[in-house]
Amino acid sequence: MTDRAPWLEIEQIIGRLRHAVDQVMADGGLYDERTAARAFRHAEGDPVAAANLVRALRAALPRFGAALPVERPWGHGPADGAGPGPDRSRVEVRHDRLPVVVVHPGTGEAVTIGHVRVTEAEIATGGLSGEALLEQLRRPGGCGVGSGRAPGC
Amino acid sequence: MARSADDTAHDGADREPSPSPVRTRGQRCELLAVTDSAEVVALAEHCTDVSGPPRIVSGPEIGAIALSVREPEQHREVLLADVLATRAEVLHRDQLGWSMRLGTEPDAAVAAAVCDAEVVAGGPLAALVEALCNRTELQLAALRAAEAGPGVDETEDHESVDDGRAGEEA
Repeated sequence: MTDRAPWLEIEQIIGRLRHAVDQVMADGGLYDERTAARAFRHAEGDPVAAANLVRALRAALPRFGAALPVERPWGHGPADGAGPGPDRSRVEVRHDRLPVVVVHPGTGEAVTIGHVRVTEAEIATGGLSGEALLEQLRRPGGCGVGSGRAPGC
Repeated sequence: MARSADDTAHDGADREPSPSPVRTRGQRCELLAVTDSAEVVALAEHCTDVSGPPRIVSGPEIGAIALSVREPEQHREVLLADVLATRAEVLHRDQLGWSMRLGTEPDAAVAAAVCDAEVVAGGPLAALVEALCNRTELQLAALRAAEAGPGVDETEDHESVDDGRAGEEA
């Protein structure tokens, strides 16, 4: 049977399926919403296949080198100043933007050419042992820093 | 005094430039990197209408920039992701212009490079380039003011997993 449904516009996918776009960017390792949206559309909504497409593109791209590392203090500490308690762990998730800073080839100046959206998660263990902490980390929610608005990373 | 871009294009030499904050070239490139694509392309077309088409030195080229974060105390650096970007370098009014923009924007990257060179060369439309940068700066300031600052968005508390070793940690 011929599929007569209209093709989704890229802006619709970016605007209304943003979690899928973020997942494709994070899993594909390439931050670009339009590329992720196109891959998601091409994969007909399969985020795993879309991420594979993005990875393939990423592998073929010319390398422009590295942006200047963003200084990001880890261990912000608990937002309310209090720990989670000895028998508890706390996961805090933040959504933020990181600058992409490159060096101007002519002047050597640091130039911020834009920002990317990231999600940062921090776990306060409250005295958990190493194995117990690993068990916590395996639960849905994840840890670390990921691109887009996706706490699992 | 309201003036059109066409007026400036024909007799910019004897006009007083619009007052603009003093920017370094890097600061201008930052603003040209995020300015509206249609606006920068239109302005670059005005620039080249006056002086002729630019010579493309390199690009426009689409590539990947590695983005990493670094923890300042122990200097641990973690690769976060590659970021897609477009860069271009042009020769306009005998000056090299350079631009890099996030995403796939070859036309806008070339246009931004032309605008960069226009200012470096002191061309007749340099004031318009600075005016575009001024507008972009105001838009960015408005966006930043509207956005909530970074903070904890979600917090989850969990009970510890009993693996029989919790007492050893006390």
